[in-house]
Amino acid sequence: MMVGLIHYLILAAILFCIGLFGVLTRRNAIGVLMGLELMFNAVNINLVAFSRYINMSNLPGGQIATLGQIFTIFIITIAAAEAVVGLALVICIYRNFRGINVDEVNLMKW
Amino acid sequence: MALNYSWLIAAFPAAAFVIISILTIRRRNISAFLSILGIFLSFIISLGVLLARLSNPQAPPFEMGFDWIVIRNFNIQLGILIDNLTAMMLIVVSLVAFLIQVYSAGYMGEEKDASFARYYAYMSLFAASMLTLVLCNNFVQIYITWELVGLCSYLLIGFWYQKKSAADAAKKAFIVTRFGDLGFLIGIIIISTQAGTFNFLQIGNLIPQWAQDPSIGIGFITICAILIFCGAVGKSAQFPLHIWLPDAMEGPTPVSALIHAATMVAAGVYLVARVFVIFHASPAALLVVAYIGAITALIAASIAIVQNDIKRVLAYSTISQLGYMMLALGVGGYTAGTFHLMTHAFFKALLFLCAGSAIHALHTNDMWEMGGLGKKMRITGLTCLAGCLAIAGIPPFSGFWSKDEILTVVWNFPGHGILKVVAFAVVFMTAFYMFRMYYLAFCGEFRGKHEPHESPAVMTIPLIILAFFAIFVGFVGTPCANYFGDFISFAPSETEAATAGVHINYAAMGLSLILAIMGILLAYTIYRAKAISEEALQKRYRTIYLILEKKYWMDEFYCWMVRNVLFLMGKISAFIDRYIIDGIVNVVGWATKLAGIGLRYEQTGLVQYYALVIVLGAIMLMLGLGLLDQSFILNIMRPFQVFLDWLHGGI
Repeated sequence: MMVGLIHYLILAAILFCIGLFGVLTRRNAIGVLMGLELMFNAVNINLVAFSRYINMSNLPGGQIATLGQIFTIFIITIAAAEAVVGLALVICIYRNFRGINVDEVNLMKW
Repeated sequence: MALNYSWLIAAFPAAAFVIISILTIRRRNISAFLSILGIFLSFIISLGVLLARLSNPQAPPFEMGFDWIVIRNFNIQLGILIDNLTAMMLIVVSLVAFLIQVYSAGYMGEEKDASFARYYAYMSLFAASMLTLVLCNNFVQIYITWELVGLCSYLLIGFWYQKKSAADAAKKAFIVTRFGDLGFLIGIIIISTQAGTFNFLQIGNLIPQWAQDPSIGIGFITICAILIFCGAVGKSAQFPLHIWLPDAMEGPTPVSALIHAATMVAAGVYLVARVFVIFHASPAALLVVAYIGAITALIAASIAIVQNDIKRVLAYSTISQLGYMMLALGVGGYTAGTFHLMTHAFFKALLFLCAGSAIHALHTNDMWEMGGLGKKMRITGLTCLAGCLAIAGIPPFSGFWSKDEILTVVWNFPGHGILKVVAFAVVFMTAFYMFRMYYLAFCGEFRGKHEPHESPAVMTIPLIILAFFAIFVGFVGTPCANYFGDFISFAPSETEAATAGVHINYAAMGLSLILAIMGILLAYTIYRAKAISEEALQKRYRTIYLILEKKYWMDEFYCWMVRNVLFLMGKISAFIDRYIIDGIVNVVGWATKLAGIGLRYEQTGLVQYYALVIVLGAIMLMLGLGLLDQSFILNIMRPFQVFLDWLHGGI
């Protein structure tokens, strides 16, 4: 069986959904962040797959063949920075709530 | 030449009003002097106008004016129209107003300074408004002055406003005439919209064309005429809007004489005469006018028979005589109606001023407290007798000639026998109640408390002058030499031809004379010779007496209507406004509040819940885009398709 673009897209979609499920469902704040990272990586797979399988020489910006991969590097960097911010927030929450159960952080409730 | 200065006729009293109101309100003598001077100057110029018209009676009406409000092709003018009718009315109004203002100096002499000056200010305002009304050349101006004279009537009836009955009477007068004015206004709007102009002469020229035009026709003219007549019904106290006039007797007697006898109430008759072209084109409208006039004359005369207040007798008499004038106009007797207008102004003003003289001397209005005044107040008594003879229609007094002309016109009118019966019945009743008043007040023994004395010269001289006119002014319109008819007539009038000039109807003359003498004799029998007593008659004819005394329960009927119909409509409207209209607005607010209460539970405070909402929103957005563009959904679904194909052993 020839592995084509579609397989990578399906894989990325499945990973994205798993990550989304994790974000929406985990009680532990760090679990939420882990799901978030999974979503990022799913998107990265998508980008890399596009960069490998789609010939962009006719499109604007298509002179760079590895554009998707470059974008992916950027996303990894930014994901790392964002994880730092997220973890800082988790530490703040821990200091105020004595636990990192996101169900308890509902001060904005009606 | 005088015609060019005719605007001064109204300007002098107006200036007097302004000066008195602003400058001399505390100075009684100067105020009175200015007011009387103003009206005297008006009278002089009116004389000039009359002489100008007399020198050339067949000349076309004199018109002058200027554009006041011009909006594209919509033009309201202020202008003056002088034809023979106007010239006659100007003299009547200014002369009677002048005499009454002189008389008032004596009658109102006991008022405080500011009150006295206020009285003369109002009198001047009234004179200015009434004279302008007579001079008008278009509907808008006449409506404005119509309301102004109504205002003056309100101010003067309620002159002693501290007295509740006077204040109530003033309100009643204004509000009741307002009802008539509503119809008048609608009529003005309809007719001027159709004609494109407000001007009387221009509308008069258009009427024959409208009568021919099938899309407009006589029906439209009839409606306009009847609506305009509504204004006259209100102002001239015709049935059913006559209820304000008896109550208006709360005002000072000179006011009653001027406004509610001689001039303002004549404005309605004058209006019908002024726009007689419109009425003449519509026989139906003329019949309405005639019947309402006849009904009014009959009802008012019957009520006058049982009144005990001397001013009320005269008030109902005025209503009755105005009905007579309307009856005359309604059967086509333009000359007859206006002639009676002129003579009535003189003898009714005279009668009111005599009554005022008696009231001033005795401080009571009740005729049963008078009696024998003819001996103590000679001039008042004699002039009052002259007035009574005039109104009863005894020759050679003026009332005879004018009444006779009305009776002739009614007699010659084809069909409608009931009108003729009413006309002659009213002759009898008029003579009866007028002489009842005369015998009760001026003959017999004095029934009052303190001795009366004759009024001062400032009051008796106007009485004498008015008596002179009441006796002699009729001679301008005798059937043998009808100068009045030649001067004031409505040109295309077939019924006029029957009465103008030579044709003398001896039957009508004789019958009216017999009826008048019978009325006088009956009054003599009851009140002078005391052969029959009024109490006995009251007991014998209890029911009739009750109906007449209660004035046919018309005031009670109006009260009932206001309380049950008008207030009911008001309550319904208030209900709709408070609960339905306000309710709708309140429901909107209440729904918003309810929505808020419901929606706030959406704020759970949980971040994951919010993230879920974002995801769901994104999905709905994509579905939405898919609805717009089918290939988008296909592209999204492709991975799943491939996956399913692979499951079934593809790729």
